[in-house]
Amino acid sequence: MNIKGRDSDKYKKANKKIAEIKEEISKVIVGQEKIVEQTLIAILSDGNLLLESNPGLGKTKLTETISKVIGLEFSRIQNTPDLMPSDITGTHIINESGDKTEFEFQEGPIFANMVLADEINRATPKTQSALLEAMQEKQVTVGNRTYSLDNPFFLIATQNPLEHEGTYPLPEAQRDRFMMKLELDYPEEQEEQEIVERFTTELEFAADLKQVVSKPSLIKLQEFTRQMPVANDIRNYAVSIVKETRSIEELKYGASPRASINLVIAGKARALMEGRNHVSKNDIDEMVKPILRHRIALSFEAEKKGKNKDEIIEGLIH
Amino acid sequence: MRIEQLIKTLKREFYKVNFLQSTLDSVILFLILNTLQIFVQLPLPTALADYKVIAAFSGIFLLLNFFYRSRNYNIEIYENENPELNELLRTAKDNVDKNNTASRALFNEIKEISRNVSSESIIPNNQILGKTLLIGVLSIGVVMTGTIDTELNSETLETLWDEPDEETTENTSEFDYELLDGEEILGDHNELNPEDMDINYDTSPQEDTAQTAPFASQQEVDSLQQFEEDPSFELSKEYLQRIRED
Repeated sequence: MNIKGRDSDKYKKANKKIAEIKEEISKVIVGQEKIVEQTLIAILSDGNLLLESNPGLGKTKLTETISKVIGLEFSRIQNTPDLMPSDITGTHIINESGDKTEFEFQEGPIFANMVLADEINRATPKTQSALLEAMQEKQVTVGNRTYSLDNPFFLIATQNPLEHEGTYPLPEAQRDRFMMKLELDYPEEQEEQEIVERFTTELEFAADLKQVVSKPSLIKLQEFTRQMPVANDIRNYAVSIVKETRSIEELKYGASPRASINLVIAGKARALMEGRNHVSKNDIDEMVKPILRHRIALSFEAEKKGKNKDEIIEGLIH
Repeated sequence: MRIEQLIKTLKREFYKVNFLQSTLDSVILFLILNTLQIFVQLPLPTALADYKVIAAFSGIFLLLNFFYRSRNYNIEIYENENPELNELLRTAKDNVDKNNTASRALFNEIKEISRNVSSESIIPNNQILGKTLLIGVLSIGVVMTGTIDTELNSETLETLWDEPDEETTENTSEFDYELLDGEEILGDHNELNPEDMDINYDTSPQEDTAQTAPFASQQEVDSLQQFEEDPSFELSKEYLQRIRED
């Protein structure tokens, strides 16, 4: 087999692995194929994810299942109004051993490969900000020391819709750090029946999940994603969509260049998921909503008219 | 195969198809001009009536036609004709300098697809078929003209088909054939005395008689010699000779 053949085989193998991951996830998660796909896209893109839904739709379950299937160390942070930043990052504690007394860093739950920040909008802005550095720089600073996080690192935050009581909207800067915002919807009746069937027949439902990829394999997949070739006109198309958000009257503010970057990367990851080795316009179109919806804000007039962000984003796709 | 080579190959395929089209057009032009020259007697100058000149004219037409057809080469031509190549070729073209696993896999895929599409996709099959059929018909026409005396020129045609001139008419009117029976030719058999007859014969062929009528009697030969002096007879003889030769 020649080198060219091996390149194609590597791609086929990558596609096969992704298909296996999806299959394993479906052993636990019923339906929600699009959400699963977009979550995997965020993982392949090395991006952080914001999941928004009403309670009880399986956000935590989804994250936990994915971490098991892709062999990542999982930790969970339950955000509450009294949660402190050090509860997330970790803190220095005094360690007394024999005659010696010294400060020792006690790692917080952020030190994992896949961190689920549950109900992030219940934490105070100060605590939410503690996640900023971890999300963007993949490191945390405690006191005057900086600690690197393990690679790969993903933060999947869940939030309840903002209308719910006792929530603190995420600051714009933090929202921008999330690659995508996914909105989970209620399952179809048939899917819900299956969910009920699956989770009511055993005391503790534990699907026999297989770890499909290892950490190095996942990093390799992320490298493949970045390598995905994209045509100049498709890249320009992605940039033009993001740029257009800055000039729409119905929006208070548009998306940042980080949105353009994320849109192209997400397009690449989607192409890999679809088994293609180039980015198509359709990849970009499919990823526009999850990439942009948390990065734009409706103007007062638009809100008054009852418009929503997804409608405006749809108008940008041409 | 590097993508530059692939793009070059596709470009070459494009030129090949256009060259094929131009060649067919030129052959059609050549055959049409040739056929017209034979049948319609185009009022061309003598030099232009030569098939070499027609061939040269067709050659020039081929080149001009080829350059005209090939003036707007664009990789999107393949994309338009092959939806499965849509975006692939442009992506490959824009990433021609990349040399990683993903790019190589893309180039391989294009190579695989282009094996199937290549020039076939941009060949207008109906046009090619139509032109080929036309060439076939014209070729048959040209072959058929080969069975006709191509040396028939206007002068000969006039001689054959025009009204006979006055002199010829007169001679023909005087040319009466009279049927004679054997006795009138050979004499009364009762008066024939075999003892007085001295018959000499020679088995070697006589030049004159062999050419005109090898087994004719001397009297017949003599009567034919009378006809030979007639101009109509000359024309008839020549005509019969030609038919015999053909």
